[in-house]
Amino acid sequence: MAALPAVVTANETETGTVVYRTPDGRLSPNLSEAWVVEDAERLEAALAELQTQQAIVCDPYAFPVKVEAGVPMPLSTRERIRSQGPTVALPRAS
Amino acid sequence: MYQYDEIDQRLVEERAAQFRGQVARRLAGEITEDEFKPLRLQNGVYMQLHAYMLRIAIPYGFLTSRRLRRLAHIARTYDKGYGHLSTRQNIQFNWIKLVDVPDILDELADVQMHSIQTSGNCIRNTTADAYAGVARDEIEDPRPWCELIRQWSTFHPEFAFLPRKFKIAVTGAPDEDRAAVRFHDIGLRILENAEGQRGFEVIVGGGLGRTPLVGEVIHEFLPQASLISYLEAILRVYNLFGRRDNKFKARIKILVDALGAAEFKRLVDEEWALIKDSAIDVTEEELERIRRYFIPAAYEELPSSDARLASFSLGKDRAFGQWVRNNTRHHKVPGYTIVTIAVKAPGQPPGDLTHEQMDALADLSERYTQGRLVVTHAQNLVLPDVKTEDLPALHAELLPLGLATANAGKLTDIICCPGLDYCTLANATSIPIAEAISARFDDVDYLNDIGDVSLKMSGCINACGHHHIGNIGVLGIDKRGEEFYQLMLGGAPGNDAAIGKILGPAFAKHEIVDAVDRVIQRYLTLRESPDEPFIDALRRVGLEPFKEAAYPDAKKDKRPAASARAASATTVAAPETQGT
Ligand code: SF4
Repeated sequence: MAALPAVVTANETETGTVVYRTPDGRLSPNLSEAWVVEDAERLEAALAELQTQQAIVCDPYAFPVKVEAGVPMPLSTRERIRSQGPTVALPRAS
Repeated sequence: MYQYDEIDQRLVEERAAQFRGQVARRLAGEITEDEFKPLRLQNGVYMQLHAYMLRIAIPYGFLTSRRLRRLAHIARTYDKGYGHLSTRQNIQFNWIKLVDVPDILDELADVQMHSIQTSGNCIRNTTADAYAGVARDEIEDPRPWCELIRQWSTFHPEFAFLPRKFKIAVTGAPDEDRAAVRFHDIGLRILENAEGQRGFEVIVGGGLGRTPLVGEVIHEFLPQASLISYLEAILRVYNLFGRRDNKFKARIKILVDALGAAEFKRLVDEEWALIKDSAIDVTEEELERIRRYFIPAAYEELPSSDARLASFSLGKDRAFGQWVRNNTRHHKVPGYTIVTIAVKAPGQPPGDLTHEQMDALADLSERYTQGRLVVTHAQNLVLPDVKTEDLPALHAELLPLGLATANAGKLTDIICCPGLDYCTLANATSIPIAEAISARFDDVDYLNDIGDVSLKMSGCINACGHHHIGNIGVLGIDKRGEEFYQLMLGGAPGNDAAIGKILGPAFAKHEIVDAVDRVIQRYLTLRESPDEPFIDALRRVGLEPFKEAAYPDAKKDKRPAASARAASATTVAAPETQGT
């Protein structure tokens, strides 16, 4: 289980899009809308609930964040890149 | 180019239809992700950091213009407009939606392409010398053998669930190994004996990843007719004795290393005795049938153009001359030249091609090289059959496409895995480092002064970027959430196969490009002459002078503690690598 506070994430099964669980139980592609869970039991419950929605999302997990100006910020580089996209410009026609 | 027969065609179409059903059941919630994962992996579908990734097989790297146009269409229609050439001569799309994969597989089947066995613990796409069929130093075209291996290994029921993935490479050029055969599970070198007979040197147990090993020769001259029975015997021994209890020790290299090459060979020979000279081996007629598909290009009878090529490289147009010098090779047919398109423009991710570039290259290949192209394991493309007289016109057309970078084989021709920008297993980003190095050394005169040197980079120990066998290798590691980079020197993929040695403590992200620069500076000062390549100079003087250059402050003040610690703190990554 991730250190707290944490955010619950998964990928949409149909599209692969990275999504985050929001406080009202939706799945949002924006980390800024994610529910910051402070409590281990609630975190476990949220993960268990997503595990039952396999047609919609796959491989849910939680990762630790810190909250800055009310917005969750991932502690790891991996989750930062996952939430913001590649750090390099995508190839474009010259 | 091999053309599918009815059986091949039906096979890929039925496989696409089968996967359509599996995707439908997954999206309907009838099967779980755990149940679906092995099915999607068998069709080349990975889950990466941001989205699904689809890996498409390009058997032995050979493409036609029609197939490249179809890949451009897939990039445009189903992805974000680009594809990534992998280090095993395949192509990957990074932003695929699962719901679209069945349609993509149908579109691929239509041009005789697929994603079968591009993932999972099976025999993967067989790779070959990128100059196969046209190289002047080749004694035999290895592609018919690669095709035979493809047909033998596709859906081979006995080898569908091996202990781990299995990779085979073949070269027909004995003097220069351009296929890294000593770093594959099986490497095959076509040789000719004093009597003029052809055979294979069989090398087993090479590989990179967390345990890099140079393969061992277990048969010095296998008669060509016995290839399939001998491969079958090797696979059977591996299937039986390869470790299934520990994924990190499951590759054949670990088995060969544990048993010793002599004992492994004894087991193979024992198994081989049961099946050699049986119906497993192909007849000469069948081999001839396959060979007939590899029709040479329709060459015109032309005089030798070697002198012309030399004069081009010294001509007034310096950009063109440098491109000819670095990106062309002598062809076996007089009047023709092999051209490397370096997909390594400064500031671009190594190996990434936009759909516009793919379409344009398909057009150019039809006009200049009879519609044939090759993907190389160095993440470049080769136009194999260009008339030497056409080189100025071809170069002029490549320039506006951003595909005329004159750096093939030079420092900025970097092999680089997707790293943390895409890969879920990565410890560190690799593309930004490659881009920074290519920007730092963006001067062809300087690159030519430095000469031939390979730089290879991986974002984790799985080594999809082949960092162990770069003359200069860079490995991304993670230290408490920070990206660090190990520098290693002395690796070589060819006939002088060697695994690089770590130079010292890892560098922080902002330090690594300077460190590479200092290593290059030291080489320039200590080489005996401009003709002494980096790797020769390194072998002559050893690591120490380069170490001093890379760590100039090591004596004055100790290296920052964080860097030193990071050298021994490689994060353990799961083994299903995604970069190739
Ligand atoms: S698994 Fe392969 S592609 Fe991914 S970071 Fe590691 S070496 Fe690179």
